[in-house]
Amino acid sequence: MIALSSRRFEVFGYGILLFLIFFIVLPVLTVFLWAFAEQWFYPAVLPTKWGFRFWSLVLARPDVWAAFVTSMELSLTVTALSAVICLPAAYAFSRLDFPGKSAFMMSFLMANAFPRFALIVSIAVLFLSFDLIGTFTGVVVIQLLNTLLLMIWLPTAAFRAVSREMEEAARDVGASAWQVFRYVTLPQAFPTIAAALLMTFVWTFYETEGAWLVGAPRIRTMPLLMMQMINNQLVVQYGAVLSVMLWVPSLVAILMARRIIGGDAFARGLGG
Amino acid sequence: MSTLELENLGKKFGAVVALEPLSLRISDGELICLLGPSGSGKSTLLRIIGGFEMPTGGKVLIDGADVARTPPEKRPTAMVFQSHALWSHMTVEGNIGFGLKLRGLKKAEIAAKVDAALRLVGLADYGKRHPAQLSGGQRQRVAIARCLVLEPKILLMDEPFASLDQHLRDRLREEVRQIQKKLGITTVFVTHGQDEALSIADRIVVMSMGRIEQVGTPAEIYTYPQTPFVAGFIGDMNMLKAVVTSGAARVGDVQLDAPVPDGEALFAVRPEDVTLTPSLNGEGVRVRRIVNYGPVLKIEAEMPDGTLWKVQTLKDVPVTEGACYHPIVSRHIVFREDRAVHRVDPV
Repeated sequence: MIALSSRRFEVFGYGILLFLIFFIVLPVLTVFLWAFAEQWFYPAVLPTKWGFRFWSLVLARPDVWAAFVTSMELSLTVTALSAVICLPAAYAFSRLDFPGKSAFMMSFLMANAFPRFALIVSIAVLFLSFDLIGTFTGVVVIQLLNTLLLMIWLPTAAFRAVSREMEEAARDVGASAWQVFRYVTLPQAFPTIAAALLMTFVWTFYETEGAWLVGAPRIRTMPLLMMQMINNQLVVQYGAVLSVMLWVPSLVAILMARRIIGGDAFARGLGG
Repeated sequence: MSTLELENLGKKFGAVVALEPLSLRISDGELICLLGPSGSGKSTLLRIIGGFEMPTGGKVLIDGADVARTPPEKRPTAMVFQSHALWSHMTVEGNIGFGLKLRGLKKAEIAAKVDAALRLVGLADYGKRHPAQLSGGQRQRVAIARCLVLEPKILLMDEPFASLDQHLRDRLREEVRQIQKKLGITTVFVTHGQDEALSIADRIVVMSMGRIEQVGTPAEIYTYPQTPFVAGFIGDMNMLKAVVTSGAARVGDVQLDAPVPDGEALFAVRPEDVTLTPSLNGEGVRVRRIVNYGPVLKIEAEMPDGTLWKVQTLKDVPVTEGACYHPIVSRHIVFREDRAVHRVDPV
């Protein structure tokens, strides 16, 4: 019986593996291959000529660099603003009691319950009357709205998880309210906040709907440029090279997340 | 040299009275245990002394100065929390030195004091570790060192050993007692464990429902409880209702002296104050159960009317389950209207 059921599990496991290979690894691999292919004719399984020609072509394009700068500026601005607005709010939500608190918290959820595209369209219409369409500010605002949920809910949970006795112990040894926050509450909540910040950054970097509806035609981010190249260029390689390039920021973010959140949170998970 | 005086200290949470106004004087170097069941107000009282709760009225005098309205960071008190509440993102050294750093001491000075505090609690080589790398007992020692390094006038301990196993608890309790005696630090210790209170306190404050039931040395509390609550809460006790007529009451065939006016009264008898002698006529109590505790036997016996007696004897006394015995009571206390009105001691 045991042997049979473990065999059954094995078959199931291989099934999942095949599924993953077919739907995730293969497409990704194809994009990678295209990015380094100079010639690839049917019916060859692999590219017939390899090289970096399209990399130099893509990197030589000024619109790519402009889009990269725009994307970085946008993501950094949104992340910073979101932190400035949301972190104090999150702390207030976690520690203070005021009328309408739960309604307020729910409203962030509600905003995300609507179909996003429809919501963005109606906001875009509103922005039209404020002359925010096609401006950097406009895109920043729409992206900020996107990040509110993440940047308030996650840090609120993180602040709430900080033990009251830990904070009282800090008061007890002479820390003022601000010192308690600075030396105990914030460091305790930091791993979760860092994760929220990184997710905000990555999310903003890759967001397309808001950036397109509000930012077009003047604000062009990397993902928008990529979409445009994939849609409009006959040469497949441009899109492929950009896709591979776009992996870099998220890869860096994930590695940073592991460094920052990794060790400390692990120790805390053990009950320190 | 610090004394702690509480004057008419009371606390209400809305309409709920957590602490009825009470007064208490704790002398320099004394270790006081606040003992009571949960909800008795003992933790609230401790938190008021530490500054974590504002009293509804009354004074907290430390060396004569009222600190009732002073925030915790400005009070000369230090608290050991039940959950130890170590800051997990700091090392052991960081935890102990944090208060000194806030006071603006120089690095070398902090290092020296932290080192001394670690040695005091027997953790000399553990400074660089994180709390997660310590055992439960070690964490609580660090929490104690974190308090002592600040040289507080009053040390507050809120059920500090509740999360530890029995063996470790006994050892740490002994160590804390020794350190406390050595430093001569005035200490208020909250516990719901009577063993803990009896074994380390100079005086015990027994609390119930936001009130002080009795204040006294462990021996006084154990031997002469002043209210039925204290009698029933501390140690094992036989609580027997009986009617007094002309200076005595009968419980079965046991006569208990009570030189008080006739009427109903409550009698408290410790199991170890009862001796069993064999009954030849089948009267008295029948032994239902004997539990061997090593040096002593705990016996449960029943009278014909169903009254249960708890009896404790030395292990060598011959007692058989199912046999009948006459209980002989050598010491008892008489309560009326919730106060002790008379007691009979062994001759």
